[in-house]
Amino acid sequence: MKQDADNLLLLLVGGVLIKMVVDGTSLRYVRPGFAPVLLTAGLVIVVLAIVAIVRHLRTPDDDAGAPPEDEHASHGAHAPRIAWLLAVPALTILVIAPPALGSDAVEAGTPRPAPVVADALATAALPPGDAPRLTVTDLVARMAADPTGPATTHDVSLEGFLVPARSPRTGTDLARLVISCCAADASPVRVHLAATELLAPTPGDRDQWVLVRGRVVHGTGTRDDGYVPTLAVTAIEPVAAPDPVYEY
Amino acid sequence: MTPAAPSSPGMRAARPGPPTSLAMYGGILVVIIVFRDTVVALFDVPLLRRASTVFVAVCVQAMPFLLLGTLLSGAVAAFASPELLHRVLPRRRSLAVATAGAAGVVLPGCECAAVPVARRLVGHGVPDGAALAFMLAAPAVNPIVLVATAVAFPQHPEMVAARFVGSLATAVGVGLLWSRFARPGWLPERARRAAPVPLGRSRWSVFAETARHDLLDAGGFLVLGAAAAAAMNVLVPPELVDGLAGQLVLGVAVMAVLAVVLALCSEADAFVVASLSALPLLPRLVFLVVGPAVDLKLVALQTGTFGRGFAARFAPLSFVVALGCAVLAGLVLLPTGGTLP
Repeated sequence: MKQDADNLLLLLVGGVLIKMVVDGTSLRYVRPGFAPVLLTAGLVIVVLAIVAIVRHLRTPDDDAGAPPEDEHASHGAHAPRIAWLLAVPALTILVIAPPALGSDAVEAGTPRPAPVVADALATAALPPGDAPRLTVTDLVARMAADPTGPATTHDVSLEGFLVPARSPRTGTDLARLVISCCAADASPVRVHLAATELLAPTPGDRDQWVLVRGRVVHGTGTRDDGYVPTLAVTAIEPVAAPDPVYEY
Repeated sequence: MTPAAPSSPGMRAARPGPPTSLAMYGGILVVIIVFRDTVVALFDVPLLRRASTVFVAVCVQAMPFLLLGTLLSGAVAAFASPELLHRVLPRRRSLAVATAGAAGVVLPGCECAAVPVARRLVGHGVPDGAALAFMLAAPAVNPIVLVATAVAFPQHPEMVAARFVGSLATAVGVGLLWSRFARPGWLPERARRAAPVPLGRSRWSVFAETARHDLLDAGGFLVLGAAAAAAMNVLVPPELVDGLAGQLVLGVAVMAVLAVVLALCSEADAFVVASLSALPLLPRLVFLVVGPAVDLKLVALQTGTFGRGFAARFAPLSFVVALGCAVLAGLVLLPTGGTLP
């Protein structure tokens, strides 16, 4: 009996991992590149459980307590009790489906400002187009590398959600969350929005996702302002939350 | 379902067991499904929501690596004979520890993978100190971690060397100290037991059964560690790190504790710590060396695998040695001893 329950537990865990990859909810917690690894892990766990179930069904006389199995059964009795905790994340995903981190993570919790990696990309020319789309991370990195770069003379478009500006500043920022490994290391990247009489994040649970267009104010985005460039906004429109929600 | 075994003298009848885990399982599931909306509403508090997202993320991220570790431990149990291991490791205790530490380079992945493998190595007669040195080295000195560190600190390549030296020194140091000073009872006998599978089964069967068994054994503890890490993640105030910029000793101490409490994966911690641009390099190095050696996830896994008595001694030991090795490596290898950002 105990064996069956253990194997069902493993089936649940493996099944949930597979489900997460197939319906895309894994993107709320880990990077897209990790999905094949998760899928493989889920399949292997399911296979291990099925192999055990099949073997258990095929050799029922082992339950009669032959000496080697007795030791196995009594040793196996240790594992299940705390192994039941494995059901907790599986059920959490199935029942509660915790949402991706959003503006409350930016404002209230994460102790880390965004990584700033000034590499060759940062000094490359802007992508072609009238107001090319950049990731917030990309823009922050470019400004950190060169505060007089092309984004100060050419419009760019950014997508993000609104948060109150980081004190001691007032106003509104556009933010995204960047993850390196999983949601546990999520760090915010921000761009301060000038001309914010037009907008302020309204209180409420939903993140306000917007697409803004504008030009970076010359000389911002340096160490002095904590690598938060100021964008002079020329246009803003609400958009639906993108999927995946994080930048990488 | 299994048929009831015929009772006979000397053999226990198949017992139906307490209202079995299966029934409990089904019962809980029904309750949750029926009250789903209430449960979801309960979790709508931002703090709980974030904590549950982080909790799930840590579990999901770690699970494939734990599985990898249990598959490897299954492979060790099924395909590597104790004789083979004895031949491969040098006779001298101290050399065996050093070799095991260096062998950590070959096991890429999270610290979760190393614990089941170490347990199997011990079961196969590898000296305790060597197995523990391997367990500490593998998560910290493997190529993936070193590359991640190099990418995260493009302007400070010496961080990679400092991390490598500090972590290897920690692994070998703890291994040697344990070999020299640990009493036999500190690593319980039950941890040394070989895979509990009857003779006559095929190797693949031993492999699968060991992996499955180790996964169940360790999985629950991983979840426990993940829950603790998630709680810490949402409760640690941002101001804590901001205020450390000027103070070296306090910075080192706080980063060491944070490394234990935040339980980040060794592949990702370099990026997290690289973003703390106001902090000097030394406290950041301390975070990188202490984290893979001892953190909440690891302590939970080690408690489950080797027992509470072991963890109560091993965790403080690794913490102190890791801290010391990190500080020494930093003072020697980092520019200006790591006292500047």
